[in-house]
Amino acid sequence: MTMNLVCNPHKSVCYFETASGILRRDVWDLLTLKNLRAANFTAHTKNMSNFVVRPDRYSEVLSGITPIPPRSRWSRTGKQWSTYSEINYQPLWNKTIEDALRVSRRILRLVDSKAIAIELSGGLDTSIIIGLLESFGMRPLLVGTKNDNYEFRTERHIQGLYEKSMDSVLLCNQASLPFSRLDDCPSHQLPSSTSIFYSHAAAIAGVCLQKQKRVLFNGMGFDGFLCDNIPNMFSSRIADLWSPWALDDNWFNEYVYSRYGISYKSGAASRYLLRIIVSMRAGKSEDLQKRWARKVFERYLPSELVRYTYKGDNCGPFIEGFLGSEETIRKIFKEAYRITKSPIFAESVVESFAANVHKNDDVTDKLILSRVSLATWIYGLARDEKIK
Amino acid sequence: MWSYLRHFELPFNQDKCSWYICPFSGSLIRASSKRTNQKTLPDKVAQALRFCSNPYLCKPHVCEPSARHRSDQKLNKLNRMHRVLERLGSGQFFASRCYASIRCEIFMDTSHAMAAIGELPSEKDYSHRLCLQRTLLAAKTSKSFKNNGVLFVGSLLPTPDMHAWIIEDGCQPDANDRQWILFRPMLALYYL
Repeated sequence: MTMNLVCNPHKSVCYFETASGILRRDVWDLLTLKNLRAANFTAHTKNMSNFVVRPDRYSEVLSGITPIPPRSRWSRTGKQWSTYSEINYQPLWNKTIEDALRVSRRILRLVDSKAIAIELSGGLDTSIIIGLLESFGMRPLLVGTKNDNYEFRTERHIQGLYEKSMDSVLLCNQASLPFSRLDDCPSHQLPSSTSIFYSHAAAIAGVCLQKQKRVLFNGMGFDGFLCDNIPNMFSSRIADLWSPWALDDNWFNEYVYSRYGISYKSGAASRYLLRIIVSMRAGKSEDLQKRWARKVFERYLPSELVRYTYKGDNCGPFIEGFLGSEETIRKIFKEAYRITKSPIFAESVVESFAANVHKNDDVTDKLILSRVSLATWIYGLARDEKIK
Repeated sequence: MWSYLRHFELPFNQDKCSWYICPFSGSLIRASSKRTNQKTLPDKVAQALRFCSNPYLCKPHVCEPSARHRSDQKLNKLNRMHRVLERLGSGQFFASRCYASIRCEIFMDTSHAMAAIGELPSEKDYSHRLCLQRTLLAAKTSKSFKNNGVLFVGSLLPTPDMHAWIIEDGCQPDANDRQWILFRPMLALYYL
């Protein structure tokens, strides 16, 4: 049995071809009608259970093709993949918030402060980033969407506070709901459930472009290191989930923001910063309400986020988005059916989804996400004449 | 001691339809015509609704109420009443309301009642499913609820998910309930 070392040094996904053992920059030429018809659509649903795409937990959608995440190293023995990471997340002693600030300031020196925007969701994670940058004397642009649903009133309250004191652009959420404008979604090489949220990213990117912002920070990954139980000695699994490719190089960057010349970065996508924060939390138990973070970052946050642990729920926008885009979804399913002849894209499937989407159960939601993202993938390829 | 647990409907009109919770069956109902409640909103309910609309006005939970006053005798009694409510289930909404109308004040305030209910065996296992039983039991056993508390039943529209919670004296007394802010109040239950 031979062992392959597979290294992707690029900022976008590369693809490992099992038959030849070669790492490819793209697989556009493999997207033939024959391969699409033979694709394993069930594997895509299975892959969606993972937070990030990683070869060791990936089921092949296109036979013999495994995506290798950007800036990651892997070893392959037989059919088994394992990480080959050099990232050291062992805890450091006596780290404090001051160390985190020092590292953040140093990283931000590399970025033109006038070119920075931050996603304004009204939640804790992005508020921490906003508070830290404000404390450094920076005045980033805040960009977000305002959701009028009742369950988002606490987020709207926080957005309103920032709107009064900082340069902000809040878009109407109706135009950027999940499932909106899927027929405009850029063609991509493998199906991704993230594509469902394309219109949100496109709307935010449009504002950043107009306001000449080149770096957009988000709060991706904060849930992991602010909520998880952090043992004193970290397991490699935790470290892998927090690798920069899991937080920084993602579908949005590759297919949306990079096209506008914008870099979409997690506020936590620095291994040095992460190491300090996880060292500060070492030995702490699971903290789903992020009470530790609310206390530690207290002076950088609105008092509401320190004293309360409220959090909205995205099931409402998911349902409204699906029902509002039903016509478009029918259109892309029709095209996916025409190309693949697979019954999973039959018209009755959309009807059944529309009748059940409001049930708000995980299994149905996952199935809808999986099927619609598959149809979006095939539709985009056909629209851009990428199918050979 | 009998004190009828009254109701006040809070229908929600959306586009051309309206949503309301039936005060007798507890079901979430969608009506194709607009629905309004002509009755005057009681002050107590109006005050509590203000805190639902802006949860940041609520008094935050500082710490868990002390377990000092919870005797085994109280907990056993509480457990018996909880089992009755469980047996009635959410399907017998009006019967559950009537049972809560037979008051048994064993706690000074609803925070203490909620903390004690949280320790009952079935609450530990199924707390996410028993919000109605928990809140009705707290309303039944808390002395302060009669004067200052309102029990809300609400829905996370457009889903059929429902939830019950209490607002008392500008506070949501269940420290373990993080969900309540997601639900739009559509039925208020209170004592006169």
